[in-house]
Amino acid sequence: MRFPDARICMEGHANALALSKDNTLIAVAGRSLLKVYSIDDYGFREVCNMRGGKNQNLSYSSNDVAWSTMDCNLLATAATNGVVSVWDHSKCGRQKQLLVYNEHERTAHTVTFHSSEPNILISGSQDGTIKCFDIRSDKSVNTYFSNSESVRDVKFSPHAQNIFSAVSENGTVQLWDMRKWDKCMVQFTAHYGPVYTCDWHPTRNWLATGSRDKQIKVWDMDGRPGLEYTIHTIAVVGRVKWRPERTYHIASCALVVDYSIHVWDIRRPYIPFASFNEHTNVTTGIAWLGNDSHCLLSTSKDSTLHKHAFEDATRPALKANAQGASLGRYGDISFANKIKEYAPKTSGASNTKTSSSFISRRKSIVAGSIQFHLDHSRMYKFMVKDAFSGFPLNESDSKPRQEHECFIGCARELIMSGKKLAELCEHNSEVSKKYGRHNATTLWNFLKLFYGSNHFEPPFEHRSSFSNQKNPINQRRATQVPSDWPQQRSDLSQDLNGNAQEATHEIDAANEDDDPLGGSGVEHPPTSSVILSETQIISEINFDNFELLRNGFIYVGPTDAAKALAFPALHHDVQAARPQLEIKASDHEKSPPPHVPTVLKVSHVPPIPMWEPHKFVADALMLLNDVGDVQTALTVIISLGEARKLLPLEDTLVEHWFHTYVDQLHRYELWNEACEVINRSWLRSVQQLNQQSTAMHTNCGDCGRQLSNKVGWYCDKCKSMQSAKCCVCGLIVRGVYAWCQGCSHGGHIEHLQKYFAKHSKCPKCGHLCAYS
Amino acid sequence: MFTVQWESRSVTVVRAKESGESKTTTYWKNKSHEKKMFDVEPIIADHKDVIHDVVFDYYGRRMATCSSDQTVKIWDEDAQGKWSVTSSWKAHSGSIWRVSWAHPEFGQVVATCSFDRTASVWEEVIGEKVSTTNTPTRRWVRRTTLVDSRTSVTDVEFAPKYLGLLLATASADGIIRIYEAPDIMNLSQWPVQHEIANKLPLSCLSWNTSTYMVTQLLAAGSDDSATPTGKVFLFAYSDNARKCVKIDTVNDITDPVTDVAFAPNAGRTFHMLAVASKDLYIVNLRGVTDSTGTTKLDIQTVKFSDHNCPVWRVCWNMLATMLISTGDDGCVRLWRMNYNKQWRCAAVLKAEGSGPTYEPAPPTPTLAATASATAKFYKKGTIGNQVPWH
Repeated sequence: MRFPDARICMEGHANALALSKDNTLIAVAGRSLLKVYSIDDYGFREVCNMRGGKNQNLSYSSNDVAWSTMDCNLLATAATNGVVSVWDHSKCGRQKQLLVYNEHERTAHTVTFHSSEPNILISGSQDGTIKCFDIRSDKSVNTYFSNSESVRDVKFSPHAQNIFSAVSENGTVQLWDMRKWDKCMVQFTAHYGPVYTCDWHPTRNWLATGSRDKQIKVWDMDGRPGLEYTIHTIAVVGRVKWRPERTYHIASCALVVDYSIHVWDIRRPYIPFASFNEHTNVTTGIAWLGNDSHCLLSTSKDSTLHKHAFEDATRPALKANAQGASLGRYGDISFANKIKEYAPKTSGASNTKTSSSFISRRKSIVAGSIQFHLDHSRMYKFMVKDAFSGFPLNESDSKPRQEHECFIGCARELIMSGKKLAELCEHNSEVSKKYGRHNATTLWNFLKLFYGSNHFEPPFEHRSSFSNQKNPINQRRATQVPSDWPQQRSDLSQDLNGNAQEATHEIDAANEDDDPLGGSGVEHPPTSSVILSETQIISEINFDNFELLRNGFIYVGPTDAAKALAFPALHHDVQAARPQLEIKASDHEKSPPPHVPTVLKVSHVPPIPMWEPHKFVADALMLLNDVGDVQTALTVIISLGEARKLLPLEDTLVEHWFHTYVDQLHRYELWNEACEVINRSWLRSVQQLNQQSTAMHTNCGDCGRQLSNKVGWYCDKCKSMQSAKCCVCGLIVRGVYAWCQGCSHGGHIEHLQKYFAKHSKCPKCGHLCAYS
Repeated sequence: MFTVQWESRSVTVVRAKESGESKTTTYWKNKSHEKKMFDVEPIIADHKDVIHDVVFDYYGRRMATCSSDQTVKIWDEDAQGKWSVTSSWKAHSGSIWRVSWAHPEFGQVVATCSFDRTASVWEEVIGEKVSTTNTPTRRWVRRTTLVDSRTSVTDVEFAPKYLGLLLATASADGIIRIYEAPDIMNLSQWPVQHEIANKLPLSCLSWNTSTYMVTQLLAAGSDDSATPTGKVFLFAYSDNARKCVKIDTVNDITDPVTDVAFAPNAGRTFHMLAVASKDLYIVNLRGVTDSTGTTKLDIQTVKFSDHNCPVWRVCWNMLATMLISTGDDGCVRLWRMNYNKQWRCAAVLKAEGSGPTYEPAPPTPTLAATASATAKFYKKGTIGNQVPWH
């Protein structure tokens, strides 16, 4: 069951809270508010309201309240008008207000009873004095002059009789002996701003102070006060209170901004150990319920009284992300990891706990097995080496490369224009191969065969018009291809001598697969497996060989079969692809050349291929992109020149690729390559990238006005040509004019170079010109 | 000192150790050939508390770290590839959760967010040359403090460049704020452009840099553990409402989310969002235009249950071909996409001595062998030899 909150008062907000010695009664004081509540297991119950009727005066507007350490009926308040009152809540009506000391000239901020002498109380005030009262007399017994503008808090030391500390707005802490009213024992500056609160540690001789500089400081008061710990909080500290039974824990609440109560481990001064966020306005009073370190009482300007159970507290440090990691441009990883330190006793237990879930792990943290204050981070740099890039290379390639090297290398070496498409493809295929991008290599080779031998005549305005032209093109292709063929074939046959064995082996393997249609899957399994290969481990495939297979296929395949083959293959579905192949193969496996394995059905040319590779190429490009290789895809499109219009690709997608690739080139600082890509673009939005921010405006060196570009350096306002002169030699500059954008002064570049080798400021105005 | 675990289709996991004086090299074996896989170097960060974020800048040439010790450090790489701190300053009065670099076109600018409920924008300025031989001193100047949040600001990120100089913050009370610097020469003015309130506290956010089909897409995650609802939200600019609105929730992810990261623009037709939660998720988002012409998101969530421990951070490489995720066990996992368009864990990098680890339970039959081997190996880890700080 949740402990019910108490809403104290609708009219005024609470300024302070005090708990009686036997921990049963709570006094809440505030503006026109002074009430006593009892606390038990069921909640808060109002015992007494001391704001009696209509006679409201300023002495009821209390800044602080304190219980007598002996008599559980007595309490004292410090009022905003400087009045210190003593109350007896057991009495009736007006008699409740036992004593009224109207001695402070200004606001009384704090009041406290002596810990062993029940009749003595002291108060601190804005007038800079501390007064000591004896409730047996109606006058102050002693007055201590703190020599500061204002005393914000006074507290008796629990470790020494008659010693009390006083903190003041000028940032000093004073230690007074009650009996020596003329001079304080110790005085030191604790904070840069006003100190608003202090609290003595219950067991150690430590004094905690909280200040407007957002810090809580812990002072060792043995001998000369020494700073032990500093806690950086997020707001002006209003009150601090040591947590009982925990040497290093202290609770604090803020005067402004922050409504939460934070409990800090003073050894970890940056992040609270626990936070209570229930209040909806500034918390003004906190008290631990006696020696119960798990129960905290608080009151707030939201006019509520809260009892917080420690297990309900939020733990900011546990919510915080414990790790940081980032990937660099070279695939290097910077990684910061929180190191948890376990208490020696419990560490064994938590180690043996296997397969603990996230939740139970969290709970075991709460249980205290982790040394909260010892949390820290370690940072590492992982440098991923060589072929780990996921593009495995041929064994013969002695220089394995990383992904970024591939990217940069390809960006520099791939060529997009200036040669015939076939040559481009050949070159680019070599480059791709060099960098281990076998899929790209395959694609380039493929392109070379399909598009390389044809010169598509621009323009193809519409796809529809293209379809009308289909026949002539195909015919042209059919006639042109054979002219290429002998040369290629000689290459191939050379290769084949070496590779035929392997190729047939591949084919056999494919055939052995339990193909439902009894496949002679011929050339395609290798094809598919290259595009498919999950881990791309198959590096032994010889691509010349593969190219040959492609040739065979291209000139033999009927439209449907080829299409059907190409697409499933792309989608890595070998099984689906095979049946189609097999139809094709059985149809056309007529006269294989004698020295070539089943693969080469080249001599059998005449059936004009009706299959268009465009959709296939487009899909291949899409796939390349989906697996993260926009570089190849875009280079292909650019290289194709006008033929790109044949590919069924949306302009928006291509534009997207352009932007992506340019962005990637920029990231690797390949400015020239990026520029070339932009220049090769036919899309307006991409071309505009190179036209942005190319205009530079010049200012007049005298008046700082922008120069109209009509007449060189002539300024319309000053009617002068002053800015045309070199600010070093004073002569008019002809030729290169170096000019600082910051101060609008400049001159001969060689003069400026000389000048700035010795100086850092502008010769004319002293501006820090940052010439690089 | 360090361990490697290499997973691949046909390769059994083999680990070998070779300790050197200061540097440790680890080898992996793949069938017959043995190759160096990665080096690991400890970096002396000198942060006095937990480091919460490590971020490279746009080019990967600079690095920023932020910590609970309320400082931000900027690192530069020297010619030998060694990182060293070139600036360090106390940036907030609370733990600094995250740091983000602006696009370099806007100058050297970082934003930080903190437990102290503020986010700040910092710019590096070049000071006066002390002498002509020295490089001029550089220091970071606070340009603005964004104080709108009433609770801890849990994440901050600059928007991709095409949107201009925009900054999004997420806070623990569930509010996303988008600030814009209308004048990029004046970084002290950051009016709030959008404020989107959510019911759940937010722990992280990420901008989508890719513009294909959807623009100005923003994802945020919540670390709330009380409700069993979806924890990843998607926001986009709505032309009708003329403001940023929540357009979708990824309902498949109901565990508290600690980090989200959109993959960098890589020319894909879909967008990938990595989500760190109890498990690692990759959410594929595809913009679909329906018959009425409105664009909707087609969401497909892939869960990786073989992470074996809660995930704290996710990060992509520049080309979006590799994803790393860091687990509560102190391991960094590398994920790569294969040609089936599936992401697979390619390697687990671990720096030993990072405390007790989770014993990975065998999640899938295929991984059982590796997992038990891993578990055995993890047990060798020690937590000794550590110097506690105070």
